[in-house]
Amino acid sequence: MERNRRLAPGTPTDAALRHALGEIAASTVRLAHVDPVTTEIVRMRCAHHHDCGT
Amino acid sequence: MGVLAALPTDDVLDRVLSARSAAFADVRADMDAAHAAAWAATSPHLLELCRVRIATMLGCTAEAHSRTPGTGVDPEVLDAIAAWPSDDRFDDAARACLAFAEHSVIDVASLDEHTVAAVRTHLGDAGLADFVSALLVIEQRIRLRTVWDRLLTAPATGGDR
Repeated sequence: MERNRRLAPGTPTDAALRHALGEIAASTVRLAHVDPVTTEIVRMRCAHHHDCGT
Repeated sequence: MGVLAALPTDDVLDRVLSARSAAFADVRADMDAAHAAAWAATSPHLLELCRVRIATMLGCTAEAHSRTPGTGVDPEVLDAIAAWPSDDRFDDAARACLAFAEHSVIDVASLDEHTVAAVRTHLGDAGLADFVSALLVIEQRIRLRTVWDRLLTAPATGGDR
């Protein structure tokens, strides 16, 4: 599904929050304790969350 | 309901992440940093309303009954959070953000333009972006602890799974 962009490119956002969210993603990806099935379920849920069809 | 259900969310995170494995310590630290950044990046008043609403929707009693210091929200207003569409104590900005939060919890991918635009009207483009990121942090914490409340039924010292 195609959607119109809801925020203009370059819209300023809070740098600390943006950085913190990136750090959570990075530290989570570094974990090696999650089994493949759970990982796949989370991946699919995140894809839905982000409207990612790939 | 597990033994974690009555604990504050910070205590749940401590027991599940910090106390269980050093490998989770950086995740815990990053979650704390994001939580602090979320409250700093958007209106604490609006975020507190949304936090309590999300907690009630997800059945997280501990979060629904907790109150974040310094937000300026009347506790009686938080007690009436489910009545926000018709209760005069909720202004237009609060209603716009609460509508967004509710829709986000139910199905974030189907958020409609009207709901998004209503928040933008009150917060602006940058404010909208930061509000959405802050909501993500808040909802993530509540969902995580709610899952752990149900999965981890034994005290950490007693060998919870």
